[in-house]
Amino acid sequence: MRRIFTRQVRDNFLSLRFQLGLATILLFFAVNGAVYSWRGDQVVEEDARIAADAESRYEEVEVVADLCEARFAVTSSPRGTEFIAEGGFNWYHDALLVTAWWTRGGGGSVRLESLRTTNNWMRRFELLDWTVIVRYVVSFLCVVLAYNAVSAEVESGTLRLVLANPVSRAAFLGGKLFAHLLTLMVGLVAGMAVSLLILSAGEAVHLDAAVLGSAVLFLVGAAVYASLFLLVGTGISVLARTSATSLVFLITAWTLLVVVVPHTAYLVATRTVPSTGQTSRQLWEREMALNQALIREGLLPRAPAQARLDDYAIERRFEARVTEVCDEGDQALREAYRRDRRQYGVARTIHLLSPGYAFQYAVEALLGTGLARFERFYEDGWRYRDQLRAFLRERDAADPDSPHITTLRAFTSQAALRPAEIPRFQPSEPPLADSLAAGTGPLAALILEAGLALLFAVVAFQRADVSS
Amino acid sequence: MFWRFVRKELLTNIRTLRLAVALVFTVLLAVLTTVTGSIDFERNHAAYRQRARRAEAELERATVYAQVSPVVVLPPQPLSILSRGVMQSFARQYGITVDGISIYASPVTSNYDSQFMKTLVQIDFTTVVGLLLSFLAVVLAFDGICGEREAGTLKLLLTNPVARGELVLAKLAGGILTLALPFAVGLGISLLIVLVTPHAALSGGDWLRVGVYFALSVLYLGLVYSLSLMVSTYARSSDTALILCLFAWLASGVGYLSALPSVGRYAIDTPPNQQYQQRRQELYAEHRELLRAWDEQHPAPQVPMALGLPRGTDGRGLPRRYGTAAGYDWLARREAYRLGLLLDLEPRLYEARWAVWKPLADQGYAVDAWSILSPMASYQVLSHYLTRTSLVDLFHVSARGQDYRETFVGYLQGRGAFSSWRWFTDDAPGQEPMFAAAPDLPEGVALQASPQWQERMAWVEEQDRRLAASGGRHLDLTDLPPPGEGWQRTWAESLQSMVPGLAVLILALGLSVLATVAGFLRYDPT
Repeated sequence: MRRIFTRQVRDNFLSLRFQLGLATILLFFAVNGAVYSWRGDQVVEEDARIAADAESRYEEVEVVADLCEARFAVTSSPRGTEFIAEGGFNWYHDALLVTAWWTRGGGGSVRLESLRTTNNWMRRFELLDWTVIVRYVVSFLCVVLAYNAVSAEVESGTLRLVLANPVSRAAFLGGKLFAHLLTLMVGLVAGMAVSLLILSAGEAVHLDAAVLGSAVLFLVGAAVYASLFLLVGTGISVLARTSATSLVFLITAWTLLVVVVPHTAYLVATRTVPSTGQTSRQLWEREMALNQALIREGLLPRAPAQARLDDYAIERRFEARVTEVCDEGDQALREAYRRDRRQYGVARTIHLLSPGYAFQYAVEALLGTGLARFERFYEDGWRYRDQLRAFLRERDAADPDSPHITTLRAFTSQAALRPAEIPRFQPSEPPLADSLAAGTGPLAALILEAGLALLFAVVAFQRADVSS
Repeated sequence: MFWRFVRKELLTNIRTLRLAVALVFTVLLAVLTTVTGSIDFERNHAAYRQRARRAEAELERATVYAQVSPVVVLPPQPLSILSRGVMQSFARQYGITVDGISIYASPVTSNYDSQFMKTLVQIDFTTVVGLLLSFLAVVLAFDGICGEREAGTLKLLLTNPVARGELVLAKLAGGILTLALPFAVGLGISLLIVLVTPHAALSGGDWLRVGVYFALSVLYLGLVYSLSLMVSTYARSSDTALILCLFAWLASGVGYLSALPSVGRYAIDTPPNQQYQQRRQELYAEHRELLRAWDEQHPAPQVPMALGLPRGTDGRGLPRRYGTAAGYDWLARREAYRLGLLLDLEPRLYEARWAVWKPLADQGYAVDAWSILSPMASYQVLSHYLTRTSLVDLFHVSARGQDYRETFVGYLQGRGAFSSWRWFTDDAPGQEPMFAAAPDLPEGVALQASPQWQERMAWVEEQDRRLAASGGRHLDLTDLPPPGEGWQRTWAESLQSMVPGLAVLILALGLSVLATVAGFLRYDPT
C-alpha cells in the first residue's frame, strides 16, 4: 500500500490538476483573507459605535425611577473566528433591547434587534468563509482528483497489472485515497496559511492559541469531509465505464448533495412547522385594547400627591392589570421564539443530509459559535432582565419615601442613582463539554455519511470486474 | 453537406451515456425545483390575496381621513418559479401614507419569516441549468477536437471535401443542438408545472419572456460549449483540455458566484444606521420645536375631553369622538399646521434614510454589474431581469409608489382633508360632547375617579353602541384615484437592462468561435 501511496502522491504533485487546484484554493483563501480584513475594520468600527450608544443609555439614568422605562441595548460581540465559520453572525439578530418592565408598542421586555448593518437584498448569497470554501471548492477538487481514480487505470489497462501483484484491493484503494487526501490537505493548509497571513497583516485577527486551535479543528473536519467526497468519487469511478461518464455522474451527485438537498430545507421546514404569525402585531393590539379598557374603567394613574390620599389604590390596580397583560405578552414572545427555533431545527435536520452542512454545523459547534451561542445569548438576555428588575425593586425598597409601584415612573423612588451602579450584562460562557456535546450531532452525521461512502467505495471496488 | 455534419454530431452525442444521465438528472432537478417553487408561489399568492383583501377592508372601514392609507399590493411573479432573484416569489406591498415615504416595497409574508429562515438559501430552475447543463457542455466539448485526433477519426473527417471552418461550425451547431435538447425538455416540464399551478397565469408578455429566456439559455450553453471547444483546439491532449475546462468552469462559475458578493459587500462602504437616527432626531426636534411654538401661540381649550375621546384601537386612537366644537376647531387648525410641516419634513427625512439605504442597494447593483465577467453569473442576472425579480424591478415599484403618493396627497388636499374635522373625528354634525364644561368635582378627586366620569363613560358606551348598530359613518372614497398601471416593468424595459449582458455573451461567443476556427485551420490532425 505504501508504494501505491507514494507513487500516487508523486503523480498528483506533478499533475496539472494539482497545480491548478492549488492555485484555485490559494486564490479563494486570499479572497477570503481580503474580504474579512475589510470586514474586520467595518465590524470593529460599528461595534465601537454601538457600544458607545449602549453606554450612553446607562449614562442617561439619574434616579432610580429612570430604570422603569430605560431601554438598554445588549449586544453579542464577534468571536474573532468569523472568517472560519460565520456561525450566523451575519443574519442572526445581534442585539437585545432589554427593559426592566415593558416598552410601549408591544415590544416586550426583551426584544431581538439588529443594530449592525445588514443587507437583506444579498440574502441569497453566502459569505466566503472557510467552511464555504471547503463545502464548494474542496469538494469540487475532490471530484476532479478522484473521478478517474480507478477508471483511468482501467482504461489504460494498468489496473490489471497492479492487481496482479500481491496487493489487496483494499490496500490499493487505501493507498490511492490517502494519497489524494494528503494532496488536498497540503493545498488546504497552504490556503489556510495564506488567509491567516493576510488577516494578520490587516490586523483583523490576532494569531493566538485559540485561533490556531480552531484552525486545527477545522482541518480535521475538512479531512473527514474531503475523504467522503474522495470515496464517493472513487466508488463512482469504479462503477462507470468511462471517465467522462464518471465525471457526469459525480457532478450530478455533487450538485445533489451540496446544492440541492440543503435548498429544499426551507420549504419542508415551513410546511412542517407553521410560522408564528404576526406576534408583535398581536401584542400591540392587545396593548391597545388594554388601554381602552383602562380608560373605560378610569384606571389611569393620577398625580402622586393626589394618589397618596387613598394610598395609591387606583395605581395599584393599574399595575396589577398592566402586569398581567404584559407578562402574558412576554410569554407569547418567548413561545414565538421557541416555535421559530423549532421550525429552524427542522431545516437544520434536513441540512444534515448534506455532508457540506453536517461539516459546517460540526465546525460551528466546535468553535463555539453558531446557533448554540445565539440561544445562550437570548437566554442570557432574559436573565439580565430579571437582574435589572431585581435591582430596581431592591433600590426602590431601600427608599422609605417611595410608594413602591415600580412599574410607574412617578411612583418609584426618586433617589439618585449613579450609572456605574447599574448591573451590566454578563454573557455566560459555556463549559467546553457543552459545546462539544452540541457538536456531536452534526459530527456524527458527517462521520456516518463518510462511513457510508467508505462502504460504497469498498463494496464497489471489491466486486468490480477488472478483466474487461 | 454542412447539415449532414451537424446531424452526425447530434446523433453521436445523443447516443452517449453522458447525455442520457444529464437528461435524466435535468428532468429530475427541474421537477424538484419547479415543484418547490410552485408550492412557494401558491403560498405567497394566498398571502397576496389575503393582504389585498385586508387593504380593501381597511379602506372601506376608514371613517376619518387620517385612517386612509391605501396599500398597493402586487401579486407574485409567476415566472419567479423559474428564477428567484432578489424579489423571489413574494408578493410586494407598498403603503402610501401622508407622513412617510417608503424606501422600497416590502414583501408580503403570510407568516413572519424569522431571522433563522433568512439564513436558508433556495434554489431555482436557472441555477440547475447553470450548473448541470453548463457542466454537460464542458464534458461534451472538451474532447471535441483533441479527442478526435487521439482517436484517429479527425484525419478521416478531414478527407471530406469540406472546409475546415465549416467543420468547426458544424461541430459547434451540433453541440448546441445537443445541449438544447435536455434544456428544452427540462423547460417544457417546468412550464407545464407552472401552468398547472392554480394562480400562475402567464400573460402574452410573460410568454415573450419565456421565449427570450429560452434563447438566453441556449446562448449561454452555446458559449460554454464554444469556450470548451476552443480549449480543446489549443490543448495538447484531451486530459489537459478537461482539466483546464473544469477549472475554468469552477473559477468562472461557482467560484465567481461565491466570491463576488463577498467582495461587493465589503468594498462598498455603508454609513452607519446611527447617521440616519441622528439626522432623524435632529429633524424631529426641529419639528417639535415648531409645534411647541405654535402651541404656545394658540393654547388649547381647557374643557376636559375638548379634543374628544380616542375610540380607535390603533396606536393613534383614531377616530376621536364626543369632543367640543371649540376643541375640534383648535385641533383641526393644529393638524393642518402639523401636516403641512410633515409634508415639508418627509422629503428631507427620506433623503437621510436613502443615504443609508443607497449603499446597500449599490452593493446589489455592483454584484449585478460585475457579474458580466462570468458567463454563469451573467446568465443568472439576465434571467432575473427577464422574470422581473431583480433589484431594478424592486425599485421600479417604489419609484411608481412615490408618484402615486403625490397623486394621493393631491387628492386629499383637493378634498380639504388636512384642515377639516373629518381628519380626526367622525362625529355627526351637532353631536353632543362628552363634557360641555368642566364638571364640579369634590376636593382632591381626579376626574377619572369621579362618579361623573363613570356616568359619562356609560353614556359614551351607549353612543358607541348606537353608532355601531347603525353601521358607522364611513368615508366616501369612490373617487380615490386607483393605483393605475406601470407598477411592473414592461418587457421592453426588461430587455433594455439586459442589453449589456447579452452583448457581452454574444461577443464572447463570437470571439471564441473565431478563435476556435483560427486554431483549427492550423491544426495538425496527426
